[in-house]
Amino acid sequence: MLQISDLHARYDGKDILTGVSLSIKPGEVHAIMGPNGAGKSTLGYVLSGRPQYEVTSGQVQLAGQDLLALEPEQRVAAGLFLAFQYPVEIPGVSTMNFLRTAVNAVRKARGQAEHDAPSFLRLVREKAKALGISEEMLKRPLNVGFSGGEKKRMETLQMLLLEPKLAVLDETDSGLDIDALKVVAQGVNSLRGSERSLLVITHYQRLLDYIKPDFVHVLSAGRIVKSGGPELALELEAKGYSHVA
Amino acid sequence: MSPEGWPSNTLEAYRYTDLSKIGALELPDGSIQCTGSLPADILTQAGRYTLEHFIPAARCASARYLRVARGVEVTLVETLTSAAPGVGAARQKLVIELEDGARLTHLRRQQLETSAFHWGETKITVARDASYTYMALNSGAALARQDLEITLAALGAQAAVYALQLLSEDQQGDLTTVIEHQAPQTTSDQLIKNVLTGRARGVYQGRIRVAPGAQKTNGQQQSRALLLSPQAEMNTKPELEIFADDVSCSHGAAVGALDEQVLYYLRARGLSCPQARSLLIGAFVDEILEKIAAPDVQSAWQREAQTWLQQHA
Ligand SMILES: Nc1ncnc2c1ncn2[C@@H]1O[C@H](COP(=O)(O)OP(=O)(O)O)[C@@H](O)[C@H]1O
Ligand SMILES: [Mg+2]
Repeated sequence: MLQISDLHARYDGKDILTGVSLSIKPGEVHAIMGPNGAGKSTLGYVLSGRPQYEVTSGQVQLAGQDLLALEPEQRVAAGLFLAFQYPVEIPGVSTMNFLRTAVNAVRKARGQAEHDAPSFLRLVREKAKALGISEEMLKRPLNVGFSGGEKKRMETLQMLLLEPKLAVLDETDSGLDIDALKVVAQGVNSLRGSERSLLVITHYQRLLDYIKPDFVHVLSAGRIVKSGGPELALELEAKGYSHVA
Repeated sequence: MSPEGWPSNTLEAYRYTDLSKIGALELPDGSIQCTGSLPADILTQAGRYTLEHFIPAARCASARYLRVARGVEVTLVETLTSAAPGVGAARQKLVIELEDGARLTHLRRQQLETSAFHWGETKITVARDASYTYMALNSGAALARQDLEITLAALGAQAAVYALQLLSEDQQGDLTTVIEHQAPQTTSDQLIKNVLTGRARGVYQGRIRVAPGAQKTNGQQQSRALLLSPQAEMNTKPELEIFADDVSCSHGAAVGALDEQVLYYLRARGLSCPQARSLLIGAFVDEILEKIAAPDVQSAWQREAQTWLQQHA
C-alpha cells in the first residue's frame, strides 16, 4: 500500500528526515513512536505534500502511484489522509459546508458521484453521532472554539467521510480523555479492513491498547532506529526512548 | 478645491484619493438618467423603492433629496450603472432626512464600467429613535469615492454601515464615512470589507465624532481587507473625536492575505487551490452579505460576488 524508500526532507533549511524507509501492506496497522522533535509530524506533512517541506531525496509510492509527484489534493484523491496533530480553525466556514465541499471534491476527483444535500446530511449525522459530535458542532465554523478533544473527533469524522486507503493519524489521541479515546479508536477501527492501512503516530502506548498495531517503529532524529511487534510499544513505555534508541 | 470643484489630495480628507484629475479630464457634458419607483420626495408609505442612475460617458452630475416620514419603514435599492462604455465622470449627491422613528435600509450597488470615475456624496440626518442602515456592494469604476455623512441628531438615533468592495486591476475605491453623534444614546456600527487583487487600492476613512453631552453613545467601526495579490493595497484611517466622557467607541483594522496554513489544510482535505481560495474568500464576504434582509437583493449580490470570485480568486 505505502512504500517509503530512503526519504530525506528538510524544513527551513534544516534536515529533518534523514533516511526513512517503511513498507505498509494493505490492511496493516503501523505505529510510529518517538521523542518530541524526532520528525514524526514532518513525516506526515511530507507525505501529504505540505508546502515548504522539501523532499531532498527518496521515493514514496501509494498504491503504485508516485505520491511525491502529486499536489496535496491529488494525494487525497489517490487515497491518502492525514489527521492533523494541530487542526486549524477556519472562521466563517461552517463545518457542514466544509465537509460537503471536501467530500464532493474528493468523490469527483475519484470519478464517484457527488452526494446530494439530503443524503450527505444523513451520512454525516450518522457518523458524527457515533463519534459523539453534536449537531450544533456541525453548524459552527470549522474547529472555531472547539476543545482539543472535539478537534480530534472532527479529524476522525473527516477521515471516515473521505474513505482513505492509507490514513496517517498524527497524535490523534492527545487531548482526549479515556472515554473519548475509546470512541475515537472505535471510529478508526470501523475503517479498518483488508484494503485499508493505518499509520498511527503516537507518544503513548495507551492508544495502541485500542488500535492494535501489527508493527511498531521508533523514529529518532529523522530515522527509524528500531522496528518490532506490538511488544516494542510496551518496552518503550517501560524503559523510555533513550534506552531503546 | 481645484478650479472645476473636484478636491485634490492636498486636502487631508482626500489624501488617498485625488479627485482633481477628474476635473482635468477633457469630456463632453452629459446628464445622469435617473429612474426608479420613488413616488415623491417625501415617503409616507412603507415599502420598497428603487432609484437607478444610468451614467453616461460624459461629465455629469445629479442631486436628489428624500425624506422618510415619521415612523415609516422603507427600503431603498439604489443602483449605479454605466449607460455606455467609455470614460465618464459623474458626481452624484443624495440628501436624506429621517423623521422621528423612521427606518431606512439603503442598499447601494455601484457596478459602473471600469473606465468610469465617480464621486458620490450621501448625507443623512437621523431624528429621534430613527434608524438608518447603509449596505453597499462596490465592484465598478476606475476610481470611485463615496462620502457618507450621517448625523445622529436626536436621542436614540441609530446608524449602521456595512460595505463590501471587490476591486481588481487598477481600480480604486474609497469609502469615507463621517458619523456625528450629536445626541445622547445614539449608536453606530460599521463593518467595511475590501477584497483587493491586481494593483487595486481600497480606501476606508472612518470618522466618528461624539459631540459634548452626547452621553451613552456607542460607536463601533471595523475594517477588514483581504489582499489577493502583492501589489494590492489598502489604506485605512480611523478617526475618533470624542467630546463626551460616558461613551463606548472602538475601531479596529486588519489587512492580510489568505492564510497559507489554512489553504494547505483545505488542500489536505481534497480541495483544489482555487476551491480552497474561493471558500475562504466567500466566507470573508458572506459576513457582509448575510446582513442583507431583502432575500432577492441578497441572492443577487451573492451571485455577483460569486462571479467576481470565479474571475479573480
Ligand atoms: N512548521 C514548523 N515550524 C518550525 N519547526 C518545524 C516545523 N516543522 C518541523 N519543524 C522542526 O522539525 C523538527 C521535527 O519536528 P516534528 O516533525 O514536529 O517532530 P515530532 O512530531 O516528532 O515532535 C523539529 O526540530 C522542529 O523544530
Ligand atoms: Mg508532532
